Amino acid sequence: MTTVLQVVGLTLTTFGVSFLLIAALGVWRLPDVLSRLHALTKADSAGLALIALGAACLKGRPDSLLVLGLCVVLVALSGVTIGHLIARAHLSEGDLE
Amino acid sequence: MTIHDVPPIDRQQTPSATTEPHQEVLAVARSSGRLRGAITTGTVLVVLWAGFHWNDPTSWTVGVPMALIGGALVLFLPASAPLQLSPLGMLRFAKFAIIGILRGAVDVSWHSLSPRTLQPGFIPWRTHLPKGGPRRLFAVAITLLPGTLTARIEDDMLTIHALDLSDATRDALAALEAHIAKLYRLDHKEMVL
Amino acid sequence: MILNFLAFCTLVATLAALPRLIIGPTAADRIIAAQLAGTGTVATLIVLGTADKTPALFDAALVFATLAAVSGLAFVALQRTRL
Repeated sequence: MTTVLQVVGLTLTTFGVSFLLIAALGVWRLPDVLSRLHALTKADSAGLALIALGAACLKGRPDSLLVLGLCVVLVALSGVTIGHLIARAHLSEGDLE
Repeated sequence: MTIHDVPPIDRQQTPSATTEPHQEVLAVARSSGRLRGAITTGTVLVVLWAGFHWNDPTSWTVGVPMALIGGALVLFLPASAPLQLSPLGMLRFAKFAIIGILRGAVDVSWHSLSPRTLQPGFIPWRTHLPKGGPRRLFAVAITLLPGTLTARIEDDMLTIHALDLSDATRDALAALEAHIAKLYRLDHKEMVL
Repeated sequence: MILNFLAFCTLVATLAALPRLIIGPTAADRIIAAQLAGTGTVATLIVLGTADKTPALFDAALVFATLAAVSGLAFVALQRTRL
């Protein structure tokens, strides 16, 4: 049982870390600001959620679940809010570049 | 004069074109909505504090005032309508959201690896969802789902930035809107109001 | 062992976003980079917490998540007054 959890946790963490790496890559490779925002809001939030889920599988302590869950929710909400605010500023000010 | 006299959608809109008694009902509904929001927030904060510091009873000397302050701050925010969520709808929406977020991450990763395939642009979208909770959830969900990002909200007009301007994106948006309507138990009659 | 490597990878992802913070070119790019670095820090702390079996690092991660949220929003608010 513990080995199954460990394998699942490691797999989830690996996927999460690759999403984070790809998000960092996306910031360099995507052509315009709004497309980069997509990398921030999606790949980043999903990556962190997977990492936290993997950590929860590996640790399996109930009191760390709350902390991990709050981390994910905070980062996802702030990412979405910032993404929306930047997109709105970008739209109303025209092209900033 | 109970809250039930007011149709759920009117409860938080500005009563510009309504009669006097109607306005009074709206005011009561709005203040009770604020109080409910404050109590809910306070309770959530107390539960969170209990989760973090369950083994330290003396910490409540800080925790209780913090929960009270947090709840009181909500009184300054605009009121929101009471939640009328269906539990089955919540489960279904959670499944839809988890799959959607993962698909969104994979999709944007794919685009990061081959940026040449991008055809980004804006889609105007008129939503039928009522103001407040449902519309906010719609905006957040758009951002988390594959290839779309809410750029501007003006009443019921959303401007959405999309990585892919094909009909598939529009279909996905319509599906998302239907999902949220089902989650909030809004039937079609209420939605066109 | 694997976890230590994964923690290193998240650190690389965090650091990779930082040059964008300096070179920009637009303010929006800098905010995005700052937010990415914040997420990367949280992720690094979580992975390190599992690798070293020190759950205290999770609390540090929570502090960073809160800070990232507040600083990102403040950054955007500041930007809007200046534009």
